[in-house]
Formats: sequence, C-alpha cells, structure tokens
Amino acid sequence: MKITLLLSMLLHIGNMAPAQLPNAKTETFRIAGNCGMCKQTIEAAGTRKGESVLSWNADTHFAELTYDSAATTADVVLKRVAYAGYDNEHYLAPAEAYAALKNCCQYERAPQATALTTNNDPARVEHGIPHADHPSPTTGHHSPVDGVLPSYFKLKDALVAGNAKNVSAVAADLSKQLEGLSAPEAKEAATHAAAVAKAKTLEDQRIRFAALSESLYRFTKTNSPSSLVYYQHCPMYNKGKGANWLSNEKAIRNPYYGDQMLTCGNVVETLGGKDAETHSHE
Amino acid sequence: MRGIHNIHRVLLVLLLTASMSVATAQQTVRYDLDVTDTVVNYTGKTRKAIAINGQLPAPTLHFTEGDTAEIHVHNHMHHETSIHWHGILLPNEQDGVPYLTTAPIKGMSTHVYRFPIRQSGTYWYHSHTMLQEQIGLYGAFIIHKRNERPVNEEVMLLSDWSDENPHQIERSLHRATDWYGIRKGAAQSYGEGLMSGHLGTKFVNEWKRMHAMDVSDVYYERFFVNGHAEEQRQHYRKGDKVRVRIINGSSSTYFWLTYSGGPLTVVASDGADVEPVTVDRLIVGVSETYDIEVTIPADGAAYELAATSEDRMGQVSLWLGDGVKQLKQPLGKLDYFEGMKMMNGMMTVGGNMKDMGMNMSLQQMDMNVVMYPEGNSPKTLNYAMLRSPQPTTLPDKPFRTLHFELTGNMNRYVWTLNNRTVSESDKIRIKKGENIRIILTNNSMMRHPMHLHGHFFRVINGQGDHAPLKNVLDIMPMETDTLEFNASEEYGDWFFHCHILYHMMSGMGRIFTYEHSPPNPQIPDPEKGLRKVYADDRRFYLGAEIGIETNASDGDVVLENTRWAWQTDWHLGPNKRRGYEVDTRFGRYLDRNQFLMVFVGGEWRYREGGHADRNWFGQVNTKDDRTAFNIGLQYTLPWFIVADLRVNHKGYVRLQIERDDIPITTRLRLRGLYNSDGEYTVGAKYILTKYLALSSHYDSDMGWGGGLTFTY
Ligand SMILES: [Cu+2]
Ligand SMILES: [Cu+2]
Repeated sequence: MKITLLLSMLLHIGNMAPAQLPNAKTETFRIAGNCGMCKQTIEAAGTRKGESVLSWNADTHFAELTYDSAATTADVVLKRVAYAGYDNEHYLAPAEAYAALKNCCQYERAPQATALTTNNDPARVEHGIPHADHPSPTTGHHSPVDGVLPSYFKLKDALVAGNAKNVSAVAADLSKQLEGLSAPEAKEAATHAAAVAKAKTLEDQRIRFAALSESLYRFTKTNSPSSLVYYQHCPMYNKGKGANWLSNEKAIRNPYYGDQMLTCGNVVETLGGKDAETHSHE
Repeated sequence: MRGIHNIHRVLLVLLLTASMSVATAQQTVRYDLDVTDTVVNYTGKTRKAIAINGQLPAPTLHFTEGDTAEIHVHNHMHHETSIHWHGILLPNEQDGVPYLTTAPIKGMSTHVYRFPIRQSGTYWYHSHTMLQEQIGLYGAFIIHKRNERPVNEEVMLLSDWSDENPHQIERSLHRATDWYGIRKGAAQSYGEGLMSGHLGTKFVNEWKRMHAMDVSDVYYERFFVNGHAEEQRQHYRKGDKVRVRIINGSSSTYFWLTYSGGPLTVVASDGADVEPVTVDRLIVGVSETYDIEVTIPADGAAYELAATSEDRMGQVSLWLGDGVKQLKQPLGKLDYFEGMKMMNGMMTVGGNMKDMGMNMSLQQMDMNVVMYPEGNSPKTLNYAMLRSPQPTTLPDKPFRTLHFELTGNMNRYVWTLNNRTVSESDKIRIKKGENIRIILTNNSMMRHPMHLHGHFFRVINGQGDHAPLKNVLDIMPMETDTLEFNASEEYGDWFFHCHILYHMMSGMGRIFTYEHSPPNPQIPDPEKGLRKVYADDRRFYLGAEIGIETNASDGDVVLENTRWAWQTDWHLGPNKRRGYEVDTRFGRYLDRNQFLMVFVGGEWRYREGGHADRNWFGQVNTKDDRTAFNIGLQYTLPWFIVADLRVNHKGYVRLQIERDDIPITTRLRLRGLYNSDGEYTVGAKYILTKYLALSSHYDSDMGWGGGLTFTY
C-alpha cells in the first residue's frame, strides 16, 4: 500500500515537474532526428533546470517544450538544440555539429542546410597562384611522381590532423607505391616511408617524415610533377633546425606541429605545374 | 532616368576635356549631427551614453567620391567633444584631433567640418576626446565610387559595451585588476592549473613575471552589430551576392568573422580595394574595416554572418535571407593555459620577448591558434594574402626609415613606443614629399592595431609593387612589419597611435609633423594645445586596498602615473599595545619593464611596552616610537616577489620581501610578507565583488584576525 502510494506520489511529482516552472508556457515544435540516442541528446540540450523541460517523440519528431517565459524563450532553447546538432523550426544545426553526430543519428537534412555541403571547399579556392606560368605544351604527359604525390599529401594531411593511426596506414601505402618506382630517390623515399609507418609515436613519425620529405623533394625536383607542388619550410621544428615538406596548396598547414602552429612556415620553392589549370588561360 | 544619366555623363566628359578646373562635378553633401547626452539600458541597468541624432551608434553617412562633405556638428552636451574622420584623406585642420589638429567642440556649440572627398570605400568616424568612443560616439562613413553600379550592400558596424563607466575601466586596468579575468573565467589560478595539469606552466609564467594572459583586457557585457545583438535582412534570395562593409568600431575588442552560408571573399581593407581573396574566416582588428562578399546558397533560410569577440565572450549576428536560421558553428572556448605555455616559451626572465628566429610577420602565424581547439583548420585571412589591384609604388623619392618597438607593461598598464609615451617624446618631423618607412616590432604581450591619420601606408607583404594599402595595421606579439608611405599631405600634425582606446590614452603613439607647416587657425596657441594632448597620458590613477579586520587594519593607497608613484600603507592595531605604523613613499620607475623603483619617504610607528630587537644586520631597533626618513628601492623579483630595501636617516637598514595576490583558485588569493626586523604577515582573501573581499591575516605584531577588504 505504502509503496504504491509513494510510487504514485513520485509519478505525480514527475508529471508536475514542468508545471512547477513559474510563468510556465508550453509549445510544440518539430525537431529532426532518428533514434533513441537522438532523443537523449535533444532533450538534454533543451532541458535546463528551473528554466525549461523538453520532451521529444522519436516517432512523430514533435517535441513538447515547457519553459519559464520570464527566464528564457523558445527561441533560445531551440538554438541550443540546433547547436547540439538537430535542425528544428527556428534553427538549422551548424554543419560541424551535424557532422559530429553518430551515424545512426544523422537524419536527413533540410535542403537549405545541404546547399552548403555542395559548395566549393574554400580551402581549395586558392587565390593569387601564378597559375599557368608555363604554357602547357603537352597533352596527358604524366611524371612518375604524379602517382605517388597524392598518397604523400594524404600522409601530410594526417600529420596535420595529428592522427597517428592514419599516418601509419597511409605511410605503408606510400612506401609500397614508391617501391614500385625505379629511381634511386624513390627507393630511398620508400625506406623512409616504411620507417614512418613503423614509428610508434606521432613525434617519431614526424622525425621520419622530415627525412621522407627530403628524398621525395629531390625526386620531385628531377621529375617535374604535372600539378604545382610547393616546397615549404618550418623554421621552428627540431629546436630551430627547421624542416621541409611538400604541399599541393600554397597556404601553410604545418605537418610538424599540427594544430599548435598550423600556419607557421613559408613557401621555399614552387615545383612543376605543366598541366596545372590548363583550362585557366582563356 | 538611365538616359538622362547617360546624357549627364556625356556632358561631363565634354566638360572634362574642355577644362580641368571643373574636373569634379562639385556637389556639397551636408549632414547635421546633433550630439546629446543620453541614457541607455542594455542589461537592465540604466547607464549614461552619448548619441548622435538620437541614436547609438551614430548615423551612417553616405558620400560619393568627388563630393564635398559639409558636416555640422552641434554639441548639445555641457562638456566638449570632437569627431575624427577615420581613414579619410583631408586637410589637417579637418582631422578632428582636439587641441592638435582641430579646435575642440565646446559644450553647447557648433563646429563645421568641410573637406573634399578624394577617395572611396568603407570608413568611420568617432570621438577623439577622452573615452567618449566607448560610450557610443562612433558611426559609419561610406564613400561610393563615382558611377558605381548599385550592388546589394550592408554595413556591419561592430562595437563593445560595458555597463561600467569607462573611466573606472581605465583606472582598474592601471591597477592590474583581475576582476575582468574572473568575470571571463580567465583568472588562470594555480588551482585551475593543477586540475588541468598545467601547474608548472602557471609557475613558470609567474616566475617570468607575467600576469594571467588574455587576448583582451576588458570584460564587456554586450557586443553589437549596428547597435543590436542581431539584425536580419530578409529580402535576399538564393544566388544573391551581398557586399558587407564591416567596421570594427569597438574600443578594445577584436572580432572573428565567420559565415554559415559558405566562404567569405575579402574585397577591400580599410577602404582600399584588394584583389578578391576567399577564406573561411578573418579577424577584424580594432578600428579596421573590411569589405567582404558572401553568397546566399539557398532559399528558405537565413544565413548567419557571425562576429565573435576574440575572447569568445560574445557573438553578434547579421542574418541574410528569409526562413529558418542556419547557424554557424560557434568558435571554441580559449584554452588559456596552452596560450600561457606558448608565452612562457617566448618570454625571457628579464621580461623580453624572443621570437626564436621565426621572423614572424603579417598575422601569418596566429600564435593564438594554440588556444583555439579547432580540428578542421579553417583557412584564415592574413595580411600576406592582401594584394592591391593597382601598383602602389611610392614616388621616386628618398626614403627615411624609422624603427618603433612596441613596448608595454601589463602590470601597470603602460603602453609605449620605444619605451616612451606621446608626451615623453618629441614630434617626428617629416618633409613634404619624402618617403617614410616604418619598421614596427612588437615586444609586448598584446596585439596592437596601429593607425595612421590622414595617410594610407603600403604594407610590405611579399606582393611587390602590389602591396596593399591600409591605414591600420594589427601587429601581434613578436611580429615585425614594415610600412611605407609618402608624405603627400601639405602640412600639419598627424597622429600615429594604437587604436585600442585604453592603450592610446596611456600614451602609445607618436605625432608626425610636416616641416614648415603654416599656423593652424583652429589652434591659436599650439604650445598650450600640445600640453592638453600630452596631459592625456600624464594622468595619475588612484587605487587602494583597505582591510578592516579584527586584529588590525592593513591598507595601502597608491597614486601612480606612467613613471611616478606615491604609495602609502599602514598597519593599525586596535590599541596602543598592538601599535600603529604608517609608511609613505614617493618614487619613480626606472627600467623599461618597470621592475625597479627608487623612492624617498617617511615612516612613523608607535607601540606601547615593546622592546628593542636586533635585526638581520646586527642593528638595534626599537619599534616603540620611531619617526624616520627613508631612501630606498623596490624591485620586482621573479614570481612577483617585491623586494624593498631602504635605509633611514639614522643609517638603519631594512630589507622586506612581499608577494600579494597569489591566485589559488579563481577567487582565493594569498599573500605573504617577511622583513629583516623579523616581522612577517600571511593573509588570504576571497574576492566577492570587484570592490569587496572576505579576508583574514596573521601578523607577527598584531596576531590573527578576520574581516573585510575593500579594493578600489
Ligand atoms: Cu580611428
Ligand atoms: Cu595597443
């Protein structure tokens, strides 16, 4: 008897909770989402003690929001929900917040939001490159370095991101590709790439990567690549001794420090680029 | 209409060929600006502010290149004001620096500015009188190109607001208040260091005599775009390109700009066109302007152009389009300890910045990046990317090179060039027609937006003949940048200063003066005028910390300016047996970092029933009744330990070491003192508000006690 009474009291309090808010106001909103995990995130973002209570229905995608109209507004709550990754009637989630959701939570987005992802990646819209310096003489001539550079750039990007696991995987691929080439610089580079793949720590990977970049630079220099390649320099690395790397973009993204000093460095030399942007000299 | 326009154009061309004297279609554009005291309420508190034509910010003024501007400023306030036209090329007496170039606009009077408009672009105007800019005296000044095709355009005038009186802000900064850090969650205490594994970092930081680092000094309650937290323009549709004229009219806040609808294309800076450059974000320094172009990617949504204060304490938005609002991912919180770690690496114990041979320049290496935990490394604008569409080479004239080291002292909030304030240095004489090259090196811990009046300079940035033109250059700690300009004006005095309001007022600047300038009718007594200008950075600031505790009252009052300090402190027991002590001294800071002060002073102490003691130096000392004159020196040792060595007129020597305000947690501070008479004190306080703390201390003479401490 007592237990049921207690239970019913508890339930009662549970039901009362939203109503206990002063100046309580209840509204219903559509919030996008898929599953139970979405429900947790959405409700956590929309509920704030003493201010607002949000409950979301995964089947209907409708949410009931009760809030203290003196303390907050529905707009403020819905903004929080969007920052947590969920599109709603007032706000669309930032692209980054949506991307950070678990796969099962990535609901189908509104067209206004997907319009963004089809945009050009601004990082690629390079400005001020002296493109097509050399008039493009040949058709589809490819240099032997063309085949290996993409993997190298991938490796460089993995170092920028500071992802040791990716670095190992990409370095192993690169090493295999380099081994297949006959030039002595390529063989040398293959050894260094293998060393990157074997290195245990990010620090160690970066030390090996410096050596790899040196050999690959010499290889690239003797076999001009068909797209522009920038030879870049970071004066700080290794206690001021400095180190170099190759990049397919002029903007500096330093693989030796990653986030810490991302834009430290400068372009030392520009290599190749015969085929680069053949379309661009009208 | 179009036909009529074309006929006009033909006529104009005919006239042009006929006579050069009517080269410009002279049109006078008149504005009347009514300046009034006003009250505002942004946070629930009523505060004083200044409005122009009843609004804050001031109205946007529009002109076309070739117009003559005629601006009537009616000052309806009882105190004086001034208006400076920021970035505008004009005759010197129109520049609006009171007492230097232009007569101040006295209370209840009208001043007429008149000058030809000989440029186009995005500019602004603001008061150059004391701290009026902080409380609303700023507005946009837009000059359209002649025959400009109409485009979608918006003005985004950014600003900062504090409920605190700006004079209190300024005084507090000179007192090295940590209240703003507490408000921002940026106190960077030992406790927080311990919890985040940065205890050693904090210790090294203080060892090198650096206070908690931050990207800005003041806590602002609000940030604004055109005077509002957000604004929306609903009429834009998919594919529309919008040119947004961004003006940073804040007093001391840098803003990051980001857009939720795609990348931003920068097309002009400080009014001068640049070749379009596309980036993910850019920082707009205090007083800088940028024109950017953004595109509306789809219908049915409003896209967010967000401006976030560099300290991440606030964000304002301009929504473009109609429909559900597409948010931009907010910028992450700053990791202050990472920044501190980096600062530690760059600062010597002697208080100098070292650049580790990195040749830093032009915002290319954003050392603040260490404090921004961002994974996908957005593309950020820096000055090296700016390129002028036209060659900007200077006339073939001799160059004169000037070196300025940007110097400063966070502790006493003294900001200087080559360790001299405006009033401590002579005007720099320049010859009409000569080329001036300025090499700036920032040896201070803050970034500074350096602004030159009445001239554009080229920023030497690797773009050769196409170096971009600017009139504000943001220079980050440890950077070296080179600027060049031609002394192309006719005459007058031109101010070159840091545009962070509180840095400028502390004297961070220089005055360039053209040789053989004719007398300025607006400045009838130039010497007196200059004294008024100099008075700005010679002001004294009052501060005090007064403890009222059960065992005694410990307190100190200081009155300080750039170099001089008058300090008085006391320990007053509850009765004669516990004793009374008062010590006062007047001194001058000698070295660049202001670690060393020499002083003369006096002390008086009285205690009943004491006895003579021998001090560390074997001298006998009675604490019972002493009146003495002292000379001595104070030196701030690593870890902010202040050593005070003095000798009195009887040859009695005392050495004392003291450390105040050790930040244990965000609000808990410890202090300690020990001297060669064998006296010591330890104390603690818990900060409640900016002015009030709970405190307790033990004194070797007075014993334990607890109470309140007032900080002013
Ligand atoms: Cu200005
Ligand atoms: Cu400054």
